[in-house]
Amino acid sequence: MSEATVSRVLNGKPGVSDATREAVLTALDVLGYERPTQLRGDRGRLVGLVLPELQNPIFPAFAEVVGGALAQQGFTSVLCTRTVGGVSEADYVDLLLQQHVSGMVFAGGLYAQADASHAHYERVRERKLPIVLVNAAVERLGFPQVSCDDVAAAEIALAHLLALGHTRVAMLLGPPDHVPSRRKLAAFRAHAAARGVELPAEHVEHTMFSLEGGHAAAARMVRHGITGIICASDVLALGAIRAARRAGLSVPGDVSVIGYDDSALMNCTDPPLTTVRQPIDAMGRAAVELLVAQIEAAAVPGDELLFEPELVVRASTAPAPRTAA
Amino acid sequence: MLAAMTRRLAEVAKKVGVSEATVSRVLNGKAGVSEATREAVLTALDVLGYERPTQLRGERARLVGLVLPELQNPIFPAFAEVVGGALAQQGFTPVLCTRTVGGISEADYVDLLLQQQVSGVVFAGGLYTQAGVVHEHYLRLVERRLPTVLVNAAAGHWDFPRVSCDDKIAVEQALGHLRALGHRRIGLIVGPQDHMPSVRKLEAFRAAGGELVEHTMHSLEGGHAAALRLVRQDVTGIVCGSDPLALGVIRAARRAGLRVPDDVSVVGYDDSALMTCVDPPLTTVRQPIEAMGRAVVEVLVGQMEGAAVATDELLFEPELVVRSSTARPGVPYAVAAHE
Repeated sequence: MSEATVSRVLNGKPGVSDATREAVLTALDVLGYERPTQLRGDRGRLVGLVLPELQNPIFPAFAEVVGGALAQQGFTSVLCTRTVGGVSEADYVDLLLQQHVSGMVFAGGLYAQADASHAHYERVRERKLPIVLVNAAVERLGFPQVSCDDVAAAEIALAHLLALGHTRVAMLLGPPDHVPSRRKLAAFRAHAAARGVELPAEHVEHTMFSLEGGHAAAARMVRHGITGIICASDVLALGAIRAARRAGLSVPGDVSVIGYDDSALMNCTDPPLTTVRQPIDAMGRAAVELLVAQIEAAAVPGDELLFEPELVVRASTAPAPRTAA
Repeated sequence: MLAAMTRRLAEVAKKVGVSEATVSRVLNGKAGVSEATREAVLTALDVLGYERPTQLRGERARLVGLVLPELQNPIFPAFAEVVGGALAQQGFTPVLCTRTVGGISEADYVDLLLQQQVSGVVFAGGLYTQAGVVHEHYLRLVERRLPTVLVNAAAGHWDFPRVSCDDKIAVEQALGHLRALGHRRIGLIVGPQDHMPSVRKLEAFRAAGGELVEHTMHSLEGGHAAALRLVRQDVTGIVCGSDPLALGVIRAARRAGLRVPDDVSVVGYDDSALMTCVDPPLTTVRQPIEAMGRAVVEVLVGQMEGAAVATDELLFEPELVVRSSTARPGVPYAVAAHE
């Protein structure tokens, strides 16, 4: 094909068949070249939803809530998830900016980790792109935030274990700089102090958010005679259950385990998991409302909206064993 | 940034055969340049793929759309991670699109991805697998020659390369396992009648002598409802078209007062990390998503590089993972009349 033909296509000039025109444009796309602006046409409005992973079922579930709420408002969401050795969160931010998204929602990402780099958030703020953060607060950036109340979550879980007579209780948390984990820990300690409950020396373990991480950390806990474990995610809780059983203990007979997040599958686990449920429907709708308000150029306060979780009692918790190890 | 811009100015200038100063004048809308020269410069910009009029951005990140029907069944998020990782290693950026209730249709996603100027698209388990549905949007992809790969589809009349898990072998493995344990009355629960992988599983089941089949929606609840119909026919083993269906079967069996696997054995299909944590740990047929994902990306990249790509279907063999939801058939049970 001649360069003149290509140029005619790129300039929207007549004299080129539809088929040829389409082929040229597609070739541009495939090769990664930018289309000239006048050929972009009417685009659907896109919103980027950036998630840290998809293994924990809470993230796919949240993506479906946000996707549905966005669709109702006439937006289409595209999911971006970090993969090991793959595209980083900062790269996704660049990409979404290049794709001229109307806004972005970040759930549980790097901003949830206090020590991580937040430079890419600065870039977004400079551009005044509509953003909502879900489940962590990078306060100084002034983005509107939607969070599940970690303080309430820790209190509900601890109260449940105390009511069952547990005295040797511990928290199994994410990495030390994971903000929601920090909040849960602070609330856990404060609540215990307020109730006059002395916490054992080994009352906290930090680990990676994975089944294996939960397993390793909980193995240490049960060796120290902990009988009640409050976990920062359901996946950690499943790892803790596994650890207890490997140590020859029964759940909930010897060790009670509480998760956090909840999803349909937690009804099917062995045992069905007692957990603290994040109200993702309400949180997702709120996040989309805040985002759309910003897109429509309304001023939105950079507050953090806190949503109350609820305890879902299934079968992984029971009264403390009579004789603690 | 300045160095890059200078380089591009030089490139355009050389292409047109004018000075860099002239190119700069054109880009800044300044006077002193003939119409012919102006057109030539802008054309060169276009052909080189630079955005008009002033920003010289150069190459964009290459996007690949990954279209999934849902994210509830853990196999889809797992597959997204495999394909996403493999794409990233090749320098592409995956963007996921999933159908949501009341959201945009698959046809609209095709439009959207084309507008977003993706370099390629992967469809996993979508509408194209449902034989009765209009597939006009796929025609558009064919006409544009956009690199496209279908996963777990058998829309045979489209010339797209396809990567699938072998549904026939999956059923043979599950059935073989139950029969080896001694089961004789075995049922099959699969998805809707126009879901191609379900059709293939059904055909394989019948070819192997199976008779009791139930179609249902791909969900835990669907599996639950279908299982009730089967247990009334005194089956002792049930082969399922997905793990969520199998979990629904287990739930239904227990509601009917039956034990799994003592009274009813259940085999799933897909597999994921969470299937070791369910009660009981699920015997299932695992899709080799790592191998399938790598093949998808290889084929996609091949298409982009203009290589002739076979439009055969690449079939991947699954494997049976025996956990705790299957056992020898127990003493025949009687389901309570009110169930």
